[in-house]
Amino acid sequence: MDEHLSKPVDLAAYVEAMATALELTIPEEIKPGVVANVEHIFAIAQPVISFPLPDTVESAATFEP
Amino acid sequence: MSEFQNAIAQAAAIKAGKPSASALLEATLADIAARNPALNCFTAVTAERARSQAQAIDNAIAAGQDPGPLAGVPFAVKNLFDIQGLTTIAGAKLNQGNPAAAQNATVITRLQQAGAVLVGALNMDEYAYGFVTINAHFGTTPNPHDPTRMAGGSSGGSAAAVAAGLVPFALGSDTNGSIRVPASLCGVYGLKPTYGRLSRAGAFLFSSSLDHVGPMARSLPLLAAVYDAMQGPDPADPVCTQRPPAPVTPALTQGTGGLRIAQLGGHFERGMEPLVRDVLTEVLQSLAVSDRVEFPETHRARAAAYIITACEGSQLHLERLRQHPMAFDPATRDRFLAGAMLPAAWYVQAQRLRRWYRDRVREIFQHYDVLIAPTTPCVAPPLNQTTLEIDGETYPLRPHLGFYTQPLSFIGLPVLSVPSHRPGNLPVGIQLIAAPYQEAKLFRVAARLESVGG
Repeated sequence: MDEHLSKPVDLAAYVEAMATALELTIPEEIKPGVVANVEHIFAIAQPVISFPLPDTVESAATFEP
Repeated sequence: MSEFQNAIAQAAAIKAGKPSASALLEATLADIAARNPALNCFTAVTAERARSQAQAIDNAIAAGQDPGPLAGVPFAVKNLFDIQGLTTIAGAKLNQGNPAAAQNATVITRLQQAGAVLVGALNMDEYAYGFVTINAHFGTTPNPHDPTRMAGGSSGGSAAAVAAGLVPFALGSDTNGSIRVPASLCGVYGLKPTYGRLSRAGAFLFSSSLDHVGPMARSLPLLAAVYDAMQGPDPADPVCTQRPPAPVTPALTQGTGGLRIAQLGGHFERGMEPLVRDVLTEVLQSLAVSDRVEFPETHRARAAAYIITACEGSQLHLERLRQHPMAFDPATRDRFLAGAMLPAAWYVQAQRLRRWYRDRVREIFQHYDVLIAPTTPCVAPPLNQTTLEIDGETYPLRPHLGFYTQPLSFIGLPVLSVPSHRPGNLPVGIQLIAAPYQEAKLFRVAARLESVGG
């Protein structure tokens, strides 16, 4: 139950908006493939983003000044 | 192939002048010229610089100098490593217009200092984003054991060149399994060391948080010697450890006494072909392993690795995606474009999950030294196969090839994929997994398996 988005997302519209924000020009002929891949990765992401982590767990990315 | 079966002995013979490094090199170059058109491993052969280096080794020997532990041993590298004077293509047509590399990747320099002779660059999936080495620009590298089947990827040219005997060892890179998957499908040893153990300076990265470099070989002592020659700090790679080298060659004769070994269960014992299960069982029996442990939430770990890879890889290529989307390999293009569009919160959550998962796994390594799991769920699939049927379940083939490798590189554990060759069957690999910086324990177990014919 925690593995799915609670509300459906219009992924074609999402891709259009993100492409605009990122200044990407996506040719029409490959848009369906991009939308399909966004849908795929949204599904993959659910077990990650739904997993509760304690506030004390920091990002694994480190930086040495 | 037989002349390379023991490349360490070969190096010793070269030091004795029989054959000369130059003579061995000419035989290697002739073999590559004859067989590479069918094998499609090499995208560049560096004959002239190799001839200069081999001659320098022969001159050093004649002058009574020690040319190094890898004297005259030929090798090649995945074409994402910088080779001085060549453009680093990283499997991409888009990179072909880049200037030539000004210097060698650090690991190439270290291998040359040890006497090894670089003979060329090897095919890969575009920008390392794949497990198959089916490249729209540079062609498919087929599996040398059966050219109708996949070599695996993304370091497929490296694994296939070693398996075919074109070179005794090669270098690859591994973000989610790209050394171990092709090593398994081609039947060679493949080492993904601890994250940060080997310098990545001069390697064209894919996803810096997860990128490793490492060697592949048919001979375990050679793999150890090559790995030992490459270790050491490197200020040119911000991820490279400051720890002093920890040579693994002495471990080959230390035996497995005192090592606590267990099978890695849960996620790592699901979804494999019967042959892979048989090989795994045989390995566990030969090591008298009876314990089984599980890493928690491994499906989430694997998914988090996917998100980090997609975000970092897509960001790295964002300008190229803006300017030339149709110049990408169709196999990577749509995934890179999609990966550029993920919410930042997801990426950070994935990086936090990485630390959480690492901490849980660290606790398990308080009780065990080496864990064992398959490398791939299947033997090399046919080149046109798209799904995998196992135990009544259908999996999409390409991502499933990384099912057992991806959660381990996610937290940078050292892993050695050991080949199993059963007569009449295609090869398959078994992963030996240790705590960070404990590569020597992997070599102790691998030497034990080699001695019992595992």
